[in-house]
Amino acid sequence: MKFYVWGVLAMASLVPALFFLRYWRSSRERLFAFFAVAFGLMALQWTLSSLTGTDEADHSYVLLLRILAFVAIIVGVLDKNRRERRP
Amino acid sequence: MANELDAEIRRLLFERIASYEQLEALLLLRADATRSWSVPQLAASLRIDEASVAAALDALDADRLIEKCADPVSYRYAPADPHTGALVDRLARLYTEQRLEVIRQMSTNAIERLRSSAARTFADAFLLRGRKP
Amino acid sequence: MIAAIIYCACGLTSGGCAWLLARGYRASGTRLLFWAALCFVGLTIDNIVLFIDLVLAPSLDLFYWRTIPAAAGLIVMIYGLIWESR
Repeated sequence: MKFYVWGVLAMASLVPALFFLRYWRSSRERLFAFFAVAFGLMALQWTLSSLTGTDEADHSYVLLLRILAFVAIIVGVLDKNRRERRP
Repeated sequence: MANELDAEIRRLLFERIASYEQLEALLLLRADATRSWSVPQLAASLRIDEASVAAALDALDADRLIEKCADPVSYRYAPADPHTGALVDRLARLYTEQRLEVIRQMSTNAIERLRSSAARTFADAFLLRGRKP
Repeated sequence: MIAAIIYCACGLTSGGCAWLLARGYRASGTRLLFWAALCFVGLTIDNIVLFIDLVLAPSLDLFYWRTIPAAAGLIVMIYGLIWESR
């Protein structure tokens, strides 16, 4: 059952990643690239969990990917705010 | 099998001509480039209400396709540079020869603008100090 | 210890995103932001429960408490992305 859930989560985060990729391409707004990376990393994390059978809660290395995903979001938000102060 | 409009025309339509009112007004102004039109005159010629015409003209003026004279308020065809002028000339020809393509492209643009406004609002939400809408 | 701080940071980040999107939705009424905010709420729950699972109660298996909110959040986000331009 866990493997099914991981598979669902991997696909369910891949789809938004692709949407963010498209938004980035059409709007040139860099924030979307960061979100695409973040959701892509989440998809990767769940895929790896599924392939290796390791749960994040077992202090496994897949946690690193989750952390990187949120680091990407933080960097993206900071980058956007540095680029555009309130007009 | 429809002929696709070329990339420059598509960009012109997407970036600077947002509605049919703007397109018609622009082409009408271009047709008689030396003349300055007032809003009521344009509204009568285009058979559109004055409010829509005024909004369209202000948008065209902001995109530097026409020129607004302040006193009395009138508008004249004035593309920002010769290259733009050539583009509008080509657009005018396309509008007579391939009107369906132009209309189709503008509909696609309208949908794309809607989609990108939601995306832009998403991105703006992450401005920590907010942005005036 | 450092690990605990890092897991907290993840939760705060996703919580922050949820809050920013909720604020944006209230200001603009754009539906996409509503669904995106829900998505990040789901991810925040995932992160919080993960923190509990890792640090506070390592003996419990809170797998479904984490993954179901995350999946629900992501699915409504997909719904929002597909339908937001009507």
